[in-house]
Amino acid sequence: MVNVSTPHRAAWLTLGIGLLLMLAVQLSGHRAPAALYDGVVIEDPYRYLQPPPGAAGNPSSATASAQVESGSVGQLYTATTEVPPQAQVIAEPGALMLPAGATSVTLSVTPAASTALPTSGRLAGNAYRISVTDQTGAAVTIRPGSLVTLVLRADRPPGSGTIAQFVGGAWETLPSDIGGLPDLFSTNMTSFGDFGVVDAAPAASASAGATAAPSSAPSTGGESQPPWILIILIAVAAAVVGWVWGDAWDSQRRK
Amino acid sequence: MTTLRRAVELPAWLRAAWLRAAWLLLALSSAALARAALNGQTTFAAFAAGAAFGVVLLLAATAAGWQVRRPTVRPVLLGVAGGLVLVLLPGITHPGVALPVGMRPQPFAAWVLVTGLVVVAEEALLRGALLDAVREAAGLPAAVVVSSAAFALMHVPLYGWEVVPIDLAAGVWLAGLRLAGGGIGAPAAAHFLADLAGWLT
Repeated sequence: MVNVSTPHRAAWLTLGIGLLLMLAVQLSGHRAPAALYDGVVIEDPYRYLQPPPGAAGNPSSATASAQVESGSVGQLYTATTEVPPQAQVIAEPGALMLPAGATSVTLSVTPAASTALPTSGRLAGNAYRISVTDQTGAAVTIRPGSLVTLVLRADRPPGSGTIAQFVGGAWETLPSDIGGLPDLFSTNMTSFGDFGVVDAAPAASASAGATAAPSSAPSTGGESQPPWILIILIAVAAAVVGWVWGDAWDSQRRK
Repeated sequence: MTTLRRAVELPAWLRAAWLRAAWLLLALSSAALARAALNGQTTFAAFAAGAAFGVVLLLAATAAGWQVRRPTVRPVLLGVAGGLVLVLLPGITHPGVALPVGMRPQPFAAWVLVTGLVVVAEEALLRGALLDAVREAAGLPAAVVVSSAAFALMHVPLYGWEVVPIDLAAGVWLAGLRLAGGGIGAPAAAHFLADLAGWLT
């Protein structure tokens, strides 16, 4: 075995490169929702509102309430009880536009029967109705420009998944990110309503057919598309840094 | 660092560093694919697959000459500091943005045990045996790049391709902790802290 002792310069250089790479990833718009992906992966079977044969039913709902203080509401968060949650909503402090006289608000996340299917692709799991009301039942809306994040789980890793909102009788796709697992998606909402994950390329992932019991095993990550541009950029950056570093390392050894 | 046992006499076919590296990469990729296939739909299957994955990685690292050492305080403290950087970075770069909840496998004690085993095993193989083997065969820069790439790619079967950028970057950071700490104590502490934060988030 080689000697593990290494000049401090190499260690600090490696730490510096690692920190820069992590910052680049976080700031690239390809934001990672976690420090790293590791540990033990457990996903409960997906629970359907209208389960196909052999699949689990009885999906949970979730609510969260908060008091209005100084005309504003603090962070509001709720998630359904499955592991991982099939739906969760995170509203940043001050993200809600309150009706006059509002003293408290309630955020509700409820699985809802879909009244229409997407024109292309499939609805990958339940639709969820997201609403916020005040103590009188009056609707609360989202303040423009503020951050209200919705995370939805698909019933299996989609070939090409995105969160969609049911608007005017049709599903409109929203810009979505992967939420930490191949079947978790997140988006920033601009209004409340009905949402679901639409798989635009179900043929690649749903060869078992729409009526087959879905798999809960998160073992098909290879179906998602690699973020090639970012990977190539990092690889090129690593190669350049390695080349420069190699020179520096050689000169240090020659001294 | 205190060596707990005598250095392993490697079999002839593993004495060449590049062969050792190839063997470790083969063992790692096989174990990662097998774990993804066996992860299953139950908590027990996931814990069992994780534990088996950890044991296989430890055996592979040991077969390639990695030696168990008792970590000292300094590398562990260094690792805790490095782990805090890993954990806090998403919040620092995106202040005010709450993170979604992922998985909180139960029971917590079993999760800690299995995750601890997997963390030590991954560090023993990647930042221990593999980094040493590639460093001996091709130099330190190559060792950091190969061990970090292996760390990123081994997570693809379970988490998908989206994890590659952040795990590649975190792999370089963990390799830096290994070089700064002298053994796997520092990267193992950082790695475990990051996993723990993922559970607690």
